[in-house]
This record gives sequence, structure tokens and C-alpha cells, in this order.
Amino acid sequence: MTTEFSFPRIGLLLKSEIARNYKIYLTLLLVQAGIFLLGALFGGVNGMIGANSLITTGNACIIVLMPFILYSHLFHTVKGVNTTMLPASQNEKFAVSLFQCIVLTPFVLLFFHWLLSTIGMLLTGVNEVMTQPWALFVSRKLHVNHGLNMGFFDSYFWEVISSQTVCIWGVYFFKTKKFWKTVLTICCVSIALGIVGGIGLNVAFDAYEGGMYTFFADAATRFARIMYVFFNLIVPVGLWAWAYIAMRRQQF
Amino acid sequence: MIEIQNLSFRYGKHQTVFEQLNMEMKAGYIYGLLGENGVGKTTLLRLLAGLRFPTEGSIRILGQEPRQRTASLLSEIYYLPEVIDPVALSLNEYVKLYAPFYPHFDHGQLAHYVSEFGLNPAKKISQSSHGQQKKAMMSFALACNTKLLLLDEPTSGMDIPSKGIFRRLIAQAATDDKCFVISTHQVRDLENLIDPIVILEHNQVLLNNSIEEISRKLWFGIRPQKSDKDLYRENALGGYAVVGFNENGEETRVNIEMLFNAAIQNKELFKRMFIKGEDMEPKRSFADEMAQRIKGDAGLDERQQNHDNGPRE
Repeated sequence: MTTEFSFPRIGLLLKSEIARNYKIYLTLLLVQAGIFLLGALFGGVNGMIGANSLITTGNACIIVLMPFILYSHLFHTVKGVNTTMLPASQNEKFAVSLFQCIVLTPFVLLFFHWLLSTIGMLLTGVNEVMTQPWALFVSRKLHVNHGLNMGFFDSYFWEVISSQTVCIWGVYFFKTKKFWKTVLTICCVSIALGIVGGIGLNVAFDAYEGGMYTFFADAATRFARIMYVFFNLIVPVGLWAWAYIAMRRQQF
Repeated sequence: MIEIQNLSFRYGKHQTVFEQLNMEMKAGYIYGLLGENGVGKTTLLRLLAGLRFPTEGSIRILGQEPRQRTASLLSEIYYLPEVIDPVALSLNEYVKLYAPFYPHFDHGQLAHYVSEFGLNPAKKISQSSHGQQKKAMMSFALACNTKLLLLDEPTSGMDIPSKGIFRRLIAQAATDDKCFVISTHQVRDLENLIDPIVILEHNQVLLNNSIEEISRKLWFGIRPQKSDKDLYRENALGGYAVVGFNENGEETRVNIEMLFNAAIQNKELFKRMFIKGEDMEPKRSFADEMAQRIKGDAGLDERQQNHDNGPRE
């Protein structure tokens, strides 16, 4: 019981955290399914609302819901006591928090989204899905048309990480405020940064795809690259580092 | 077990809770932590648990600082807060998930506690009443067999039979290598259990003594008449229930509730008697001097006007 880092103990921590938070995961999945169904009902899969919009909406939902997950599973004045008092080192707890927030949650949501999208495509008779299922993971064309392939994973993943990082940072930073004030502030900051980051990513995407052969293409690409690096590298890494330092001093 | 040296703690810059607090708590005792609302009982427990950090000074538990939150120290501390997180798990599931963290966890003991409290370990904790949740977590806390057990208002929400069971289980679980610290307002629930008694007052400790020491210095009983030397009194059958100086060395049963009220009404006196350790012998001159001090400008009757139920003259 003296080591700072023990993988069996991390396994135990992860297991206990998932068992405690499984309802939140289920809620997230249900929300995403609801959004997808609403989109499909209004002709979203191949009509009026593009699948990209659905994904963006899903992202927005995650951005809004994430503070609740983080707040409840780590920083809540009552619930957080359980995690903090568990006999494990701060490094182990932070590793579990990191894994749960930036790996597990996005992957679960992404997989679920992919599953729903695939079903949607099958229902709308997209031939590629039946004849070339691997295309879902590699084809840019499919993404442009349907927004379902894993090529979108990269930007999706980093967006989620950025927003969650902002959330965790926000909870630390605003922890002295009231609960709803805290959540509102975090949501505003998250959404604002998510929008700015999203614009950057969209510009980048368009530029890379060659869909933006305009007079400003070069400038837009440069801007997109800067945004990409800033929002996808500096912001998450910096804020997670900040969160780690804050966690060591977290008080309830 | 616990060494607190020059501890100061503030919320923000101005709200001081403790100022230069010094205290020691030893293994083998069940400490009762008493105090009025807002004096810092929960804060002290949270400082001991490492959930809050001292502004100045230090706390050492088993030679380690709780603020470091090392795995080895956390495995020897269990903190049961007043408000618990009602997890959506049954006690069985909870034990399966969390017991492996505690190296001294005893499943046999847990089964005993669960049976004593009459709990259904298959029922989800979140679906149980507040009292049942308390009992479930109490069973788990005791079965962890940590060297330091911090309990914040453990009997709140418990029914009357459960309070008796709680006292019995705590007494059974207490061993020479363990230290229990129980913060409570329900002193009657813990009478005959807590010893020593710690009374906190704003920024300071008024008393941190064993029942034996207290009964050596103070007298508890019924008197037919009021006396100027009474430290505290309230109406009772046959006269007044009184806390006074133990002038004759008579051994009386300590009434914790009355002791607490007496301490709150005679703060400086209690600090002198119990913390600074001034003339502990019940000499007449000392008693007289103290009585004079009490009588002073703001006498007992005046100070007790909000508390005293005694007959008006």
C-alpha cells in the first residue's frame, strides 16, 4: 500500500467509478439516440438535416452534459468525498479520471453514434455499407455525404477532449461559486470554445477536402492549422496539466 | 495517533475557524467531538481526513500528513460524513467494489454488523431510507478496520433501537490500536461511549479530557437550592440539576449535555481548568475565586437567561 502507481488498484478504481456512474453513461447514450431519432424523423439522414449537423448536435449535448458527469464523479462536495478518500494515490485517481473522461466516454459515444448511423444508412439503402463496410472507417466521401465514417473521429475526439478539459478546469477554477452558477459558467465557456474550435476545424476540413477553392484558401488553411494546434493540443494538454495540479489541492 | 500543532484554518481570507490549535489524540480511545453549530467540528474532521488543508500549522496522523493523501495513510482512515452519497448499488455490490481497497477489511465482521442492524444487503443503498443508508455505511466503515475512524453525526437519522446497537458495535470494534473520533450534537446518544470529550469553541478547544478527569474536577447532581457557585443549572425534579466544582472529591456521573452547556457558559474558566491546567485540585480558595469570577458583572442568571429553565424569583 505504499506504491504511487499500481495497475491492479487502477483497475479497481476504474471499476468502482464506472459502477457508480453507469447511469450517467446510459443517459448520454439515450440522449444521443434521441437526437439521432429526431434527426431521422425530420429527414436528417439523407435529407434536410445533414448527418454532420446531427454529430454537431451530439457534440453540443456532450459538451453540455459533461460538466454534470465530472462534477458528480469527482468534484461534488458529497460524492467527491468517496473518490478522494479511497485508498489510492492522487496519480492513480487522476489517471482513472483522465481515462474515464477522455477515452471511455468519447469512445462509448462514438461507437454508439457509429452504430446508429450505420443502421440509419442501412435503412436508407446506402449501398456502400452493405457492399463495402470498411468504407465507413476510411472513406472521406462517405463522410462528406453522410458524416458517419471514422475519418471524422480525429476532430470529434479532440473536440470532446477540449470541451471536457475546459469543464474540469472550470470546476476547479469556479469551485467556490454555487453549483448552478458553476455549471452555467462551465457550459458557457465550453460552448464558446467549442464553437470557435468547431469553426477552425470546419475551415480546416473544407480546406483539406478541397471544397474551398477560394481566393482565401491559403489563409484559411493557415488559420485552420493554428486553430487546430491550439484547440487540439495546447488547450487540452495545458488544461489537463492544470487540472492535475488543482486536483492535488482539491478541497471539499 | 493524531498530532495537531499550531493549526490555523480559514475559509477565504477572513472567516477564521481555528487559530493556533494544539491537540493530541491517542489510539485506544473514542473521542467525542462536541461544539455549537459552526465552530468547526466537521471542518476538523475534514482536516483530519485530508479533505481540507490547514492554512497554517500541521496535522500528522500515524506520522504522515493527511493532505498528502497517500494510499498507505488513506487505507488507515475511514471518514463517514454526515451526508452520504446514496450510491445506486446494493451493500453487497458496494462491498465487492470497495472492500479490496482496505487491507484489513473483515467480511465476517460485516456480516455481523449487517445482521445486528437488520439490514438487507441485497437492497440498493439509494432506495433505502436515510437511517438505513447510515447503518449500511456504518457497517462498512466498521468492517474496514481502519486505525482512524472519523464519524460525523453518525446517529442522525437512526431510530432509537439502532442507536443502542450503534453504541454496542462501536464499543465492540474499539481496540487499543484504533482511534475513533465522533462528532455529534446528539450527546445523549453517545453517553457512556465517548471518552475523552473534546469541546470546540470558536478558534479554540475548551476541553479535551477524559471522563475521569472531568468528574474529578466537576460535580454533577441535584441540589434543592441555587448556589452562586453553580457553573450551570437547569430545572429538575426535586430542585436543580447542577454542574459545580467538585469540592469534596466526590465521584459523580458526568452528564455530557450539562457539561457542554456549562463549558459554553464558562469558556474562560474551562480553558483555565482543562486546557491551561491551572490548579486542578478542588481547593476551596480556587472554587471561591472562580465563583466570584462567575458572579461578577454578568452573573450566571444573566448569562443563562436564554437557557435557564429555573424558577424566577
